[in-house]
Amino acid sequence: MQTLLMALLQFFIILGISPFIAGLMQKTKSLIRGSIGPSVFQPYFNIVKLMKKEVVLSNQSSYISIIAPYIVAVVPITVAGFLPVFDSNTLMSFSGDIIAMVYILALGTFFLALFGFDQGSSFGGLGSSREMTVASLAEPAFIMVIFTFALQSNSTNISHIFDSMRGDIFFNYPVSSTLALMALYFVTLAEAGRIPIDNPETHLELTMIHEAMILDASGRNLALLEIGSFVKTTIFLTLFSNIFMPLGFYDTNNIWTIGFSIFIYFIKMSTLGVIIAIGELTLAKLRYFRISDAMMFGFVLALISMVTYRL
Amino acid sequence: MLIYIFLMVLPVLFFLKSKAAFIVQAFSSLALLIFSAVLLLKHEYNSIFMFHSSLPYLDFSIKLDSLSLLFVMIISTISLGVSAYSLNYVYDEDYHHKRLFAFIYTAFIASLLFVVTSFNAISFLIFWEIMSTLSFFLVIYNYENEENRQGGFLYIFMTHLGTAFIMVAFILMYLKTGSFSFENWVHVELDSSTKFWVFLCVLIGFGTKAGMFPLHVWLPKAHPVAPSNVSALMSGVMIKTAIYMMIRFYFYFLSDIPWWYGFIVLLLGSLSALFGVMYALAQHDLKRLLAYHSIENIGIILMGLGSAMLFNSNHMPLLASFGLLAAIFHTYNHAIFKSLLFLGSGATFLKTHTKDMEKYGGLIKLMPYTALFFIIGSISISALPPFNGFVSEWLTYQSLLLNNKIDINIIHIFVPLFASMLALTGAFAAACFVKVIGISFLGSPRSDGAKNANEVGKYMIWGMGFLAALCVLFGLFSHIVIALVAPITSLLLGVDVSSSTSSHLFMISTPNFAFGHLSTLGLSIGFAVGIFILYILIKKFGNTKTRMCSTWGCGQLNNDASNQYTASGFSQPIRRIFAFFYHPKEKIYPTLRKKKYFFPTLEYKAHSHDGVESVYTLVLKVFVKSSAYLINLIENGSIHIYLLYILITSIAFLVYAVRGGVN
Repeated sequence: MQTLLMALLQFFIILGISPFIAGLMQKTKSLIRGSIGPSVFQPYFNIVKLMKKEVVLSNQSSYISIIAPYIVAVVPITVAGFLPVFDSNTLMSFSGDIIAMVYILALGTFFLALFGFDQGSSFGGLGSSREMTVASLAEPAFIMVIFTFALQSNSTNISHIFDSMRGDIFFNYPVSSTLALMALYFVTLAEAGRIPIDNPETHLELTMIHEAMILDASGRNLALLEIGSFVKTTIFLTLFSNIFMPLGFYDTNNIWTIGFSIFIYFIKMSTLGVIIAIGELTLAKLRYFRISDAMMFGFVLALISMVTYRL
Repeated sequence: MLIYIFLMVLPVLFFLKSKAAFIVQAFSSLALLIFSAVLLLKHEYNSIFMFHSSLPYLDFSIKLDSLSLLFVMIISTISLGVSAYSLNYVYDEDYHHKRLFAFIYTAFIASLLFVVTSFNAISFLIFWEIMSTLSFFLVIYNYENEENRQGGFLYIFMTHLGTAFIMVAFILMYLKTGSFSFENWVHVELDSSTKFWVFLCVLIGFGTKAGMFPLHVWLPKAHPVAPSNVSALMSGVMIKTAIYMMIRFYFYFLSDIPWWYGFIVLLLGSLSALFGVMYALAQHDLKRLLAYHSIENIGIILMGLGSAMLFNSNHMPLLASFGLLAAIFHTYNHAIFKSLLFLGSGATFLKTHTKDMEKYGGLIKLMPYTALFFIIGSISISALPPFNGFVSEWLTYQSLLLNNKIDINIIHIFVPLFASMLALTGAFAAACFVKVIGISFLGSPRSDGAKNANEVGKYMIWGMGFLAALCVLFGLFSHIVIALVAPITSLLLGVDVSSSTSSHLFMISTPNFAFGHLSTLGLSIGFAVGIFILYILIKKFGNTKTRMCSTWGCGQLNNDASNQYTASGFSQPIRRIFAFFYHPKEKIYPTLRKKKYFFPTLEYKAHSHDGVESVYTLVLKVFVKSSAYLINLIENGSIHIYLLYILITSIAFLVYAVRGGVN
C-alpha cells in the first residue's frame, strides 16, 4: 500500500511539475530578453482556459482527430509512470523498460503526425513530414545512448539504471558517461522540439515543425496536445537530470528525506530548464537541412561513448 | 497424420467450383491451425509419413516436428484470412478463368504446406519448385500487362538462381552423409570448409527467396504486380519458407558453427532492414512500398536469427533460445501484418482503381473498416506498442543487447551499431506508415476514383478483421506465441524458452528477469485508464462542444484537395538528407512549351534508383555484351567461315580416329 502511494505521489509530481518547467523556460527567456513575460504558472492557466473552449474541427477530419489528442497526451503520461523521483518502485515499472519507453514515446509521435494529416491542410502534412524526419534522425543516437547506459548498469530497467548511476558508474566510466550525456542532450533537444532543432515560439511556415502539426487544433484538443508536449519535455529532463545529477535520496521511509529528495528534484529540473532556456537564447535555430548534421553529431558522440566504455 | 495430408490437398480437389475451393481452403486452414496448435501445446508431434517410390532416391517423407508445425500454423493462419478475403476479391476484381485461379491458388497453398513438412531433400526440392512455379504463374496472372511479365520473368530467373545454390548445398550434405533424408543430416559432423560452403550456399539460395539484401531485386518487382491476395501470401508466407530452411540448417543440421557465421547473418540482416525501409520511404506505389517493407522485415528476422547463431556458436543455449524466439516471433508477426496490409492495399486498389497513393485520400470515411484494419497493421509493422510487431522488435533489441555477453571485441563494437540501425529502421517505418495512412486514408479525396470509393464486401472485411484481431491478440498476450515456440527451442537447442521468458503472468522478460521485462497488457491498461480519466475530466470540467467548418486555406477560397501534402513531398526531406543513398533525380519542366513569363503549367518528376539493381543491370549488361561479342566473333554470318568450321571439325575427328582414339 505504501509502495503504491509512493508510486502515485512521484507520478503526480512529474505530471504536476511539467507545465511549471515550460513556464519557467519561457520566463527565463523573457527576463534575459529584457521583458517581463508571462508568469511561470501561465501554462496551467492556458490548459484550463483551453479546456473551457469549444473545439473547431475541419469537415475533412475523421475520428483520428478525436482520438489522437487523447493518445498523444496519455502516452507521455504513461511514460511518466516509469520514472522514479525518490523511490525506485514506480507506477508502471512492471510493464516495460527503457527500450519499451522509446517506442511508447514513438506511438505518441505517430498519432501526432496522423493528427497533422487529418485536417487536410498543407500545414499539417508539412509538420508531420518534418517531425517524422527529425524523430527518425534522433532515434539511432537515442538507442545508442540507451545501450551504453544499459551495458554500464547491466540492466534495461529504468529504476535500476538510475540506481546504478547514483552508485559509482559515473566515476568508473567518466569519459563514456559524459559523451553519452552530450548525445542525450541533442536527443532531448530534438524530441522536446527546442532550439536549435525547432522553435516552439514561432508560427512561421519556413521553420515550424511541432507547431505546424497542431496548427489546426483548438480547445480541449490543443490542451491535450500541449499537456503531451509538456510532459514529454519533463520526461527527457528527468532522464537527463537523474543520470547527470544523481543527487537526492532513494528508497527511504523517512518523511523528511523524501521531502528533501522531492525538493532536490525540483531544483534539478529548474536548473536544467534554465540551462536549456539560456542555451536557446545563445543559439540560432538551425536551417532544416542542417538538423541532420546535428543529429549525426549526436550519434557519433553516442558511438564514441559506447566505444570508450568498451575499451 | 493422414488427416493432415488430406486437409492439405483437399481444397485443390474443389477447383472446378472456384467459390467452393476458397471456402474449403478457409475451413481446412482453420482445421490445420487448430490441429497444429493443439499438437504443439500437447507435445504430440514427430509423427512421420514415408512413401517410397520405385525410382531410386525418390522418397517422399513428411514429418511434423515442432518447427514444421509452427510454420504450418503460420501458413494456415494467413491462408485462412486470405481465402476468406478471396471469396469477395476474386469476383469483385473479376479475374478471368476463375477455376484456373482457384486451382493455382489452392495448389500453391498446398505446396507451401508440403515444403515446410517435407523431411527429405528430394521431396523438398520437388515441392519447392512447384511452389516457385505456381507463384510465378500467379505473378503473371494478368499477363497482358508488360510490367507483370517483366516482374514475373525476373522472379523466375532469380528463384532458379537460388534453387541452384540450394541444390549445391543439398549435394554437399549428401556427399558427406550418403543420404537425402533430413533425419540423417541432424547435427552432422562436417569439416570446416564443407561447412562454410554449405553455410554460404544456404545463405545465398534461401536468401534469394527471402529477399535478403543484396539478392532482393526481384521482390519489389514481382510482389506488387501479383493479385493482392497472392501478394499477401507471397510476402506473408512464401518468403518465410526460406527462413524456415535457414533455421533448419543453421540450428539443426550444422553444428559447432564459428561465430562469424552469425555475424554475417546479422550484418546482412541489418543492411536488408535499413535498405528496405529507405527505399520503401521513397515509393508512392502502395504495393511496391509494402514489398520493400518485406525486405526490411526479413532483415529484422535475420538480425534475431544472427544473434541467436552468435549465442549458439558460443555455447549459450539459453540466450540462443531467446534470440531464436525473437526471430520466429517476428516471422509470425510479419506474416500476419504484412498480409493484412497487402489485403488492405488490395481493397483500396479494388475501389479506387489505382495503385498510386497520390490519388487516394479521405478513404477513412468511405472505407471505415478497411482503414481501421490498415491502421492496426501499420501500427504493428512500425513496431509501436501495444501490438505484436513491437513485442518481437523488443525481443530483437534485447537479444542484441545480450550479445554483449559474448567476449569478442568485434561484437561489442558492431552489435550496438546494428541496434541503432534497427532503431533507424523502426523510426523510418513509422514515418513511412504515417505517410501511407496520412496520404491515402486521411484528408480529402485527391481523385474521382477516391471520391467514389465505398466499403468492400463482407468476406474481405472478415478476412482482414481476422488478421487485425491477431495483431492485437499476439501483442497483448504474447506468451501464447512463446508457448508455441518453446517446443522448437527444446528441439533445436535443448532449452525451453517459455520457462525463462514468461515466468511471470502476462509478462515477457529476458532470461534474467531483472535485466528487462515487458507487459504490453499492463501498458494498454495504463493507456486505457489514462484515456478514461482524461475523458472523464474533460466531460466534467471541460467543454465537449465541437464545431465543424472547412479547412483554413490561408485566405484562399479555392480550397481543393490538391492543396494537401503529397507522398513525394512527405519523404522529400529524407530523400534530400540521404541523397548520397537515393541519387534522386528531380526535375521541374513546363508541360506545354510555354516560356516562363506566360505562366506555364509545370510538372514535377522525382525518381530514385535502386542502387543494387543498377549494379545487377551493369553486370548483366557486361555479361550479355561480351557473350554477344563472342557469338558474333564465331557466327559472323559468312558461309565460308561456317564451311571452314565443318572442315576443321572433320579433320579433328579424323586425326582423333587415326591416332587410335576409337578402339
